Amino acid sequence: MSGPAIRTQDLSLTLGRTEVLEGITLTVAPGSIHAIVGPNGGGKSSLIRCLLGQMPFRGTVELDWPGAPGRLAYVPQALQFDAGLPMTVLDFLNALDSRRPAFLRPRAATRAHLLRQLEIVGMAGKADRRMGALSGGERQRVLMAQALDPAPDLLILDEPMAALDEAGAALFETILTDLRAKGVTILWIEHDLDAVRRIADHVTALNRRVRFDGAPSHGLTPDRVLDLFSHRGIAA
Amino acid sequence: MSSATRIIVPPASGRRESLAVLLLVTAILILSSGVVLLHRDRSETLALSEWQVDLRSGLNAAEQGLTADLLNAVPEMPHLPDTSPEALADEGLPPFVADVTAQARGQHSWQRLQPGMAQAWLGLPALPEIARPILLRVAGDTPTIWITDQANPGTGDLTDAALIAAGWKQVATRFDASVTREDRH
Repeated sequence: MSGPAIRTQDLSLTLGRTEVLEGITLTVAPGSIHAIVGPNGGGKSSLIRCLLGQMPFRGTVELDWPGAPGRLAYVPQALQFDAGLPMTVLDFLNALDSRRPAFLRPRAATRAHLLRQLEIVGMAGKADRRMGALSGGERQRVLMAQALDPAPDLLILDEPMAALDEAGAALFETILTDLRAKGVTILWIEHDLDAVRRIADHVTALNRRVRFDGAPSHGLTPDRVLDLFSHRGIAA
Repeated sequence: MSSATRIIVPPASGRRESLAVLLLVTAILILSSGVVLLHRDRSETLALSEWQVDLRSGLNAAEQGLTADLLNAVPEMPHLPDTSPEALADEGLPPFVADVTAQARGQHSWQRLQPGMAQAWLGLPALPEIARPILLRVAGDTPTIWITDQANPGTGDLTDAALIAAGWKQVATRFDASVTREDRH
């Protein structure tokens, strides 16, 4: 099963009087890693929420699946947990993964399965830690683990590496390239332009409008990046 | 490869919810108006005959008062040994007793008529400009009030036909008009 193509046509989003997105026409090729870069407030997360159907946008958003519609996974930018919340990592995954109430102990098979998932993201030893006690990077790994189970066909990531350490970032890059090898379409918001250049097939720079769109090796020239991330670029 | 599927992501909007609420409201309105229409009492307009007059619109206040008093006097009569107007006046039974009210209502002088099975009490006014001549007829258990514009009306044998022929009009009560004084008939 291969991932879908995503097409947006003239996508605009106005929230109150703020024009968040303006005439975004974008194509994400199936089975590719498509990175979206841009400054804060540039509308990257809003674009993703439009793709998920959670925003009152104008224009069209289409998902072209090669067969029957597959599974869509989403890793949010951050998820807040109170430090005292008595919910362990295993409870969290169990609540998302299983129909069995989370306050009951997971079945042995489920538990083994969840531990395997945690192992993939390097969290095997921390299954019984409270969610609130995790560091930002560890929480990000848990969110990635929930997105990978069950296996997705389209993976949408909202700055997954923002809080990760170097080892974590490397692990995520491996996971993303592995998924691409399986044909999964990945839409990936990222600040780390070096990582984008390393693994993305296509990059779109977004600052209310599409600033540029192309292969990272050609698209991410120093001039363009400077223009994108400076306030000069916003004013233009 | 199986056939491709294109999914169009709908924008988040309250449109579906608004439509659902609108449909619900419409359904409730249709249902409630249906219930109201189906369960409504049909007010049939009762047409009065030529020989009838409406109590509310055809009589003045004095005549309406006399009518009410006469109809109230009828249930008392079986309990009295004598039902002549004089005896009824002695009992203090309005409108036969000559009091201030009777003066204000045209000073009728009363006489009893008993030509056949029915009996009747006829009141002729001293002041016809205040109230017209009025007749209480009790046939069996049914009292009816009759009124006429003529100064010296005939009474005949107290049947409907005879009274109508003599120019009497039966006072009729209709409950279909609204409680206001409007008479749309």
